[in-house]
Amino acid sequence: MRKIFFALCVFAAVFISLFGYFFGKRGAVLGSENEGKLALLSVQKGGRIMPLSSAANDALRAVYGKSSFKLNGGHAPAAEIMAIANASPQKAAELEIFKTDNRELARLSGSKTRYFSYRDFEKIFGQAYEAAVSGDGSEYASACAQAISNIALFEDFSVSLGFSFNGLSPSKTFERWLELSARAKREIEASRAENRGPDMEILRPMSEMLRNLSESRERFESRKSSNIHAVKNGEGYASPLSMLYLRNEATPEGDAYLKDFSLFLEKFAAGDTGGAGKTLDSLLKRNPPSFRVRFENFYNKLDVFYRAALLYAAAFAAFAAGAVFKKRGAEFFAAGLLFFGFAAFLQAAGIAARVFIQMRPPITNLYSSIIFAGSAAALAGFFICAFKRSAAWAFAGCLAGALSVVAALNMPYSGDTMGMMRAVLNSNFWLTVHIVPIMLGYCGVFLAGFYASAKLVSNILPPQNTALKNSEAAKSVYKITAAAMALSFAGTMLGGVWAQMSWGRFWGWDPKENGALMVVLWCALIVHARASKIAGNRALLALAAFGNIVAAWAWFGVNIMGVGLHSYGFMDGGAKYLAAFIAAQFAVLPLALLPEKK
Amino acid sequence: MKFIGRIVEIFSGAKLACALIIYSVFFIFLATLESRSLGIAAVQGRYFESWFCAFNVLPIWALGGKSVGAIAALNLFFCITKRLKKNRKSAAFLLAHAGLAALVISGFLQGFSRVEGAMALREGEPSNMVLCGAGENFGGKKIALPFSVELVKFERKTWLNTEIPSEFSSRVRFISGESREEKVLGMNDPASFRGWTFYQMSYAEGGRVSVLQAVKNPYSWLPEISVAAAFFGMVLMYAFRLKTGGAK
Repeated sequence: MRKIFFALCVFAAVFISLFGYFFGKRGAVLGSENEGKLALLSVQKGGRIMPLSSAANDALRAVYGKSSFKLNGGHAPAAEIMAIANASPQKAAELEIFKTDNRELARLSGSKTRYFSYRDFEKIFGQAYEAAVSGDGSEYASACAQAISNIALFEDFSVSLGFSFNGLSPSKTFERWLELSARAKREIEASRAENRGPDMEILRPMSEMLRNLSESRERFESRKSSNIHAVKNGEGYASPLSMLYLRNEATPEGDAYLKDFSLFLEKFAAGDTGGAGKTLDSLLKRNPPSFRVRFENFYNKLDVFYRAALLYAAAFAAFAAGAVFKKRGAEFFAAGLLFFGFAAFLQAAGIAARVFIQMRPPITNLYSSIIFAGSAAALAGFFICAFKRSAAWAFAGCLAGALSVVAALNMPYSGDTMGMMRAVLNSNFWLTVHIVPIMLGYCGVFLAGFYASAKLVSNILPPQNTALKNSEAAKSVYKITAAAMALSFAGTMLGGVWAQMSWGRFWGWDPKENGALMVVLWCALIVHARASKIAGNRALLALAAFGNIVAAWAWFGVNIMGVGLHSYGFMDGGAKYLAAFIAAQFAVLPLALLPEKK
Repeated sequence: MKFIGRIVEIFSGAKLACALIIYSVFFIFLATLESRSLGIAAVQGRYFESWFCAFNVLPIWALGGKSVGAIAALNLFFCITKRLKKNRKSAAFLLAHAGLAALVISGFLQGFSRVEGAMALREGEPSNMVLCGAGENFGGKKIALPFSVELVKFERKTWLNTEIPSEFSSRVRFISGESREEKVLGMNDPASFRGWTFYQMSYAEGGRVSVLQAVKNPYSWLPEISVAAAFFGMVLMYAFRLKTGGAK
């Protein structure tokens, strides 16, 4: 019976891990196979070559908050939405793919939900624009400004794969443009040869199209860092607009690629999925995706961090079942540990995949720092729990891992999470030696903090020998905190050495530096209080639990402040979550005052 | 004598260290909060580099960063001298705490001896003027270098199809009398000349002007040595104490 139960749990864990890859709903319009081909096309965005699935996910997340959209009773992944926007802009304009958390704006757009369409927004554009430029600083004004920026982003998406002019299809637009340019060139040459002025009637259609093209390209180029360059042209990538506008830079191979793309959009718009699939085959043949692009597409399909979140939830459910059904406690604990292990390793595998895709250290921005620290805490918690069979370690590790993936998945959109590094951060060596130890240190502080919190809470539950439990817990907390102190000290001070090399100063009292110093000092306090017997076991647990507040402030609080040189991760709207976390930690602290029972 | 002994006892104790740490954490927290309204440079001068200060949120006089540093240095000094013993645990303790004391002292030394400022260089126009302290710390004082620096060429590279900078670099010429020396300095790659070190900071006018940070800091090596000593001391202490779970 036990073996069957355990085998079922293994099956469930594997099923949850790989469900997205094998059974994920895809291809609401194109069908699963053709959508897979579309997703695999190589494009360039933010300076990085990536599969279209990544670029489109990123774009859709920016406006919609998710990477797929419910359509035709199925799920249309971002790449398909992108194809709709380029092939059938009128149809795309009806899709409610713009998200706002501001009720006033949602109500104004006529939507009953948080989502509205391009068409809805067209009707209220004037009012929204007035509010956005009013500068009154209200949430409504900032939501309007955000909505306008998202609309502009969407307009860029809709010309990323092909450009249409005056109702012509993309390929007809391309042909018309070549024809008009050639006609204008002939007329100018003839007028020069005949020593007369050019016939403006002949030049006018070309001039009109040029103006339209020029305006569209100017808009597109003004946001080129976040836009998608989808056409393989020579050694690099270009947008369809640039291919048309900068004819002297277009190569014959690039033109052929653009024609295939245009053909794909036409077949897609006509609902000819078979024909669209064939043009995708041709595009993939013209520009075969590299191994790294294929791997990134595989990584996208797997959706590892979401799967890890589900596994953490399964682990919590199993631990909770073990606490309720005490007769089967051991079996449920083992099942929980199994799910926890799968989740922790899946999360670590996701980080390893990101390192390979990016060819950068595991931490390059706020998103990756959260995922990394959570993963390190989860793995540490898993191994300690596996050796000590302690539910508190399982809880602490599982909570750190789960919180990290949930926080990362719900972070406000701030660009490609594997984006290229700015000049000052463009150093793999310093990113590694400065940030990795700091985050390992933070992870230690959180692990000790969650473990101490779990112990303090468990002290109010029977059966009890809290004196013994607290003594053992304090020992463990000390060991982890001492390691966290050494790591965060090394990371923080190596940051000083890096700053000395980059900016000519070791320490600048930047808020992020101050936060890191506060963490080092708090760890030092716990270590000294323990070593000198100033704090007893319960006080030590309370100090470790308070360490969570210090580390959370250092990590996120200073980002919310929005001051300083470490301006890579400022976030809006995170304050309430941080406040809730701090309040929860404060609620745990008075439990340290409960008398110990022997 | 008994009184002095008591003072030494207090200054060498872990209780003072703990009190100082708790004070420092809340002090840094409050000062960081104030940087939102005052700016980092003003907070640095008013709180971290002062002996006493008063917070806007708490209108009482409190110890400033210099006082905390001085007490910490005394605390570290007394605790090192008190616990000098010829064993490996003591050596690790000494290494870690002496490293920290040196780090604090390096902070004071740099406060007295470090000179820094910005140089805006236009292509082909040598200059020796450094604008010190970004206006606030030194009141925007200008100082003249004993040599001139000329921007030969500024280069800015971006990631393909983006405006995201991947690298900045300036080729500069140091001119002193008849001597000419060319060096390239970039992000994370400074260049030194006659005791001054130049760092790439930013640029203006589309790259025709390169902004450099010029720093003269005779003790720039001290924090690095201190940090290395403190870290290895910590690791050794940790290794020796691991088995006892923190108890001595």
